[in-house]
Amino acid sequence: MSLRRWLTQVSALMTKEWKQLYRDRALLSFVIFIFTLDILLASGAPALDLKQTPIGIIDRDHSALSRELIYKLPAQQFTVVPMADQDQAVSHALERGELRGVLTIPHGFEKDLLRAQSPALQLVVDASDANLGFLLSSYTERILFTLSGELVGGQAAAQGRSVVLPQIDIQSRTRFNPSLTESWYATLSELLTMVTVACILLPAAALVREKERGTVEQLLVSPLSPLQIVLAKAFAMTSVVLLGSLVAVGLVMHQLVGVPFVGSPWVFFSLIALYAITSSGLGVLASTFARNSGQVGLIVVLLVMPIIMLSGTWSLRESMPDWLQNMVAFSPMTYFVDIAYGVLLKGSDMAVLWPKALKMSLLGLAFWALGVYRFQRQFR
Amino acid sequence: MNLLRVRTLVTKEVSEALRDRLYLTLAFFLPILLMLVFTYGMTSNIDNVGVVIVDEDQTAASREYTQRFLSTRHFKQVEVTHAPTRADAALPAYQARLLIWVGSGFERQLQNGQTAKVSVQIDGAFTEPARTIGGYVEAINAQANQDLRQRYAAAQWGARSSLTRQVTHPVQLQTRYLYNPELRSVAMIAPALMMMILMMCPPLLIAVSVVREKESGSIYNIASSTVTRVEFLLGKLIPVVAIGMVNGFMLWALVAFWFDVPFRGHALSFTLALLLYVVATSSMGLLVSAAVKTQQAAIIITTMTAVIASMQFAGLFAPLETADPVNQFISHLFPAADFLRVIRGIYVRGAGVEVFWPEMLSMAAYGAIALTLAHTLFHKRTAT
Repeated sequence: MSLRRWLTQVSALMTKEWKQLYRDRALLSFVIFIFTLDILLASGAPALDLKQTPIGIIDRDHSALSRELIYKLPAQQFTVVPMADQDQAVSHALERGELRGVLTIPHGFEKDLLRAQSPALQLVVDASDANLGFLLSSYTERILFTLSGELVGGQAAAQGRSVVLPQIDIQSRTRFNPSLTESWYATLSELLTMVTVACILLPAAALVREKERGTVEQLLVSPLSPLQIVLAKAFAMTSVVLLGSLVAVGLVMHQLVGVPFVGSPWVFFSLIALYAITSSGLGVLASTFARNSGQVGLIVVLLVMPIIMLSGTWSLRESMPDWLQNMVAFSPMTYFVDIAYGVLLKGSDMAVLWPKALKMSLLGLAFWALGVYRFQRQFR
Repeated sequence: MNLLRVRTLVTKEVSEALRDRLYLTLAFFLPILLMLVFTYGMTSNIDNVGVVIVDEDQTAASREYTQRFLSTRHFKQVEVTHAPTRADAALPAYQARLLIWVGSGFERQLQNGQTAKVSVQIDGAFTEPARTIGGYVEAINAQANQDLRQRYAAAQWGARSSLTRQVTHPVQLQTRYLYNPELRSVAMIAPALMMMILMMCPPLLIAVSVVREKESGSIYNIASSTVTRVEFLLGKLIPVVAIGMVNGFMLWALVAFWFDVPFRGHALSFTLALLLYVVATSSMGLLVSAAVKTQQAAIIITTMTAVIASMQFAGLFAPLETADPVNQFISHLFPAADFLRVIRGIYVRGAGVEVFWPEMLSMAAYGAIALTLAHTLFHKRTAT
């Protein structure tokens, strides 16, 4: 059989897949949604930071200095909620999560501060959200030391004494995303998630559906080899994903959200194609373990959720336990996360990225080989 | 509505599920597996982060300073092939996420009571770890400054003078961490994951089981029978809600005993919240199944909706107060944000129904609205 005929057959089958997707309006609208509106929505994702975090203040001193301290708490980080000295109201607000912490300024604060008696302030932190709790307590501690140092310094300067102390001053620079714009990170992370889900789920579901309905038997008696059937399914879906990510990156992320594109678009899109093919191999493999669509759905969820959660966009790989790090080495997304952020934000080129691209392709090759082998075996 | 017919339908669903071993296994193992994998992966500690240290000063003071970073579990020094040689040199992008540069003259400046500058570069591609790393760097530096001033002031004015106390300890801060005194991230993540898993599994099961009947044509048996739409929907809903409740209790046991997060709330409040949430999410699954024709579409739409709703719009990682108004609005389309607030409140903070009744009512409303909509949209005869 000539190569040309072989390719014509595959493309005919791909056209069938495109038509099927086009006619499944629910699925089609969802595919359009995940590459456009969903990415746009991700740009408004909340960031874990102290941002007008509600904090209750109980002022037992009612002095000029205690009021000045409260007044000087930065409004960008805190929303100060003055609280009466009542246990019940305070604990209700903490239980409901309406206050993230409560700061109590003790009676005699001003007097003790000026006499160098180190007045003790109390901070109660809601630690049910551990990260925010840590941010709140460490930031409050720093700001209180600075502010009370200023208050004391102001008093000392008024008395004509000035104090100079040595200091280590950190000059911090954030690379690749200088002002830590959340949307740069979040939209790309969302895109990678959606590409992964679509690339694994779409071919797997398409293959199982034919198996379930028995139409795959028709395909197999046609002059098509099982490899052609699988390739057509996977490539049809891959092309949809590729088109989708082109729109998502070029239009939504770059134009609308303003994510920079530092590296080469050619490198980015050829590697995203490679990734899409690799992941669809995983979808083909998954489909061979299921008899009906219900099963394939659950298998894919079982496979996709760990992949998207553990591949490096949600958590740092180096912080995971060793056994988990070894497991995620088998996830193609692990390599693609580095590649995507590398090309888009860091401007990396193939000279740096080839080991990751190579590992990803090897995984893809293994998925495809195993998937096609198992697919063929089912029909002998 | 005929309860006998509902019971018959439930029996049919149960025996169908029992005969599909893989389906049954996944219905009960999927939630547990998801909980284990996510909790291990997302406990969001920032540990073992690669750091490059360039110490041009090479003095006791500079070594003591850099050692402060390396002695925490957060940072690990990495050897790089091309050590940067100028202060504006780049962070080696794939080997380290942090670069600390101590210039020459560090020790001399500090001894003279001057300000010494240290430049730091952080890889900002992943914003949340970058912020946390920045926070650690600030905290370690603040501690170094505190120790430095203490020593300097003691040498200048004597350790016990009031001036020394005033500049080194102007105030004290006594911090008490409520509900989670050891600041374990697992206490924040594991209970919250119940929200996500129960947003995904029951809708997936229910949507697939309805759409499968549509696709295989067995729904025509229903169409020609005396079973009403309400009865049919209830027959689908009841078994899935039951599975969802069992899942919820299994997850609870896993969080409480495997991950060792103490349950501070009341069992009854927890059960009520769980029931309202599972009914609400399962009804949303029914709604999806009424709208789609193929199982493929049902699977992708239910899982993606669950992922999007629970990861982006529920406040899982960052408080919802900081989200923009559009996202806050979208978060009200799903019961996930309500359940997250309730589960953190009941499970971790030990609050009860009396504190969270508005959220409970709201979850009940989600369930009622979704069921009504599903009932309106659902037709026994699918359009051909």
